Amino acid sequence: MTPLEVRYRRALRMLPTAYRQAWEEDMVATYLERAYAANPDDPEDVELGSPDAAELVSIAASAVRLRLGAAGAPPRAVAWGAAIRRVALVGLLAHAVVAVVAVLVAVWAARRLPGVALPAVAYRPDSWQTAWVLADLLWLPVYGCVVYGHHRIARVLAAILIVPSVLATVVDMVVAGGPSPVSRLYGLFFAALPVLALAAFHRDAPPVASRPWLIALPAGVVLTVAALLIGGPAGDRSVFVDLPALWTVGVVGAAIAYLWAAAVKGAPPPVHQALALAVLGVAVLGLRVATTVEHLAFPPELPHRSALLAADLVEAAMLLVVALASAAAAGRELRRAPHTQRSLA
Amino acid sequence: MRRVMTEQAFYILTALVDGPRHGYGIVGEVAELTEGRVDLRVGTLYGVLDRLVADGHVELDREEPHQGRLRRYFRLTDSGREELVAEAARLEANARAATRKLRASGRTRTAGAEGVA
Repeated sequence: MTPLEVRYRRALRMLPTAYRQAWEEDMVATYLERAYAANPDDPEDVELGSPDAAELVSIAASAVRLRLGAAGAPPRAVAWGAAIRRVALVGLLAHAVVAVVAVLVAVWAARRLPGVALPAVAYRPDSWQTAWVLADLLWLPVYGCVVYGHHRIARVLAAILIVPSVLATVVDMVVAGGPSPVSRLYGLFFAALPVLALAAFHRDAPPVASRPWLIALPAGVVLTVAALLIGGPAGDRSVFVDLPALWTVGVVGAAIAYLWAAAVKGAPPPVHQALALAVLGVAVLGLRVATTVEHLAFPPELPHRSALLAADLVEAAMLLVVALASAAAAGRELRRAPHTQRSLA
Repeated sequence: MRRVMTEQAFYILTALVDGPRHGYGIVGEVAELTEGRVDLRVGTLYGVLDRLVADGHVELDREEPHQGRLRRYFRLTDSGREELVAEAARLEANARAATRKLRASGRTRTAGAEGVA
């Protein structure tokens, strides 16, 4: 086996096993024929070559499409594809909602509303922070692009938007020496998760039902502002209303809606809903645990410290239950779905 | 519902119209058909072939030894031919509609220009 063939076979390991069993030999033969035909005068040079970047990208894109499939793909791949697309939509919705709420709160802080106490998160941003808050509003077009099917623009814009968070994390950990690097890194991963999940919006992905997702945006803003108001002014209950807590309410609410839909219909909803809930449950659980580690470092004399840790644990327990129950429900359904392998004979 | 055919699937089916071909043969035929405009990546070729086999539009024709390897040749099925005929007719109708519109617009502009002159 030549080094070139070895490298191609290594690259093909990105593909699902069943697909590789069906197509690997054909693919390798075609790659090699193409490589030798491109340089017929120097076969020894060809043998020492490597797959070109465009072919590697093509294999990687196929691997994503095959694992996160759409209509026509094997049932498991279809379920995973739909679930990851939902994770992307929910995550980008959250980014957009947080961006809008941040602007509302900043305006609120600048022009105090008579008779309404400022939420604890309100502050008068300096010019740098104002630019940051306003730049975050670009999550709105990212979300809109995904909802209306402009996936490529959404991917590019989202990748650009995540860069400041990466830089902020690096600065925090390296320069400022942040208290918990694991927690910071997990926060970054959590923010980037919907951006990574955008890979499921490939060329075979079905269009998004735009209406409910468009309604979800103002509804999310209203509910988040309501939660901040319930949290009250600084020093009161506000310490309990952090991002993981808001996410916990959302995930637990979605789990209740899932159960209610199952009870009304007398049958489990589509398997991708349980899968998406399991993925989100685990991701938010990680965020809750990471922030709980930070809360543990708070000085004991801090007001509400014990209550805060108790609330963290209750939320973590709820998320664990949702994640396990959803994963079990999804697992049951997926086990019934057949593994499909192409038969060429 | 009939799935929209991608450009790659269209050209792969077209490459198989005049007889069975192996993977590299399909890549070469597509490049020739499109005068090099479509450079079919091998990863893409087999992704589309996988789908076409699953849909019953393409099937294995035969295996032949070639330089110590088995080459698999693929052929168009009746359903694949029907699908290609339908897609070609759709594209032809689209092109006809656009051409008709462009010609009409060209005549109008010419007539307008003449009127002004």
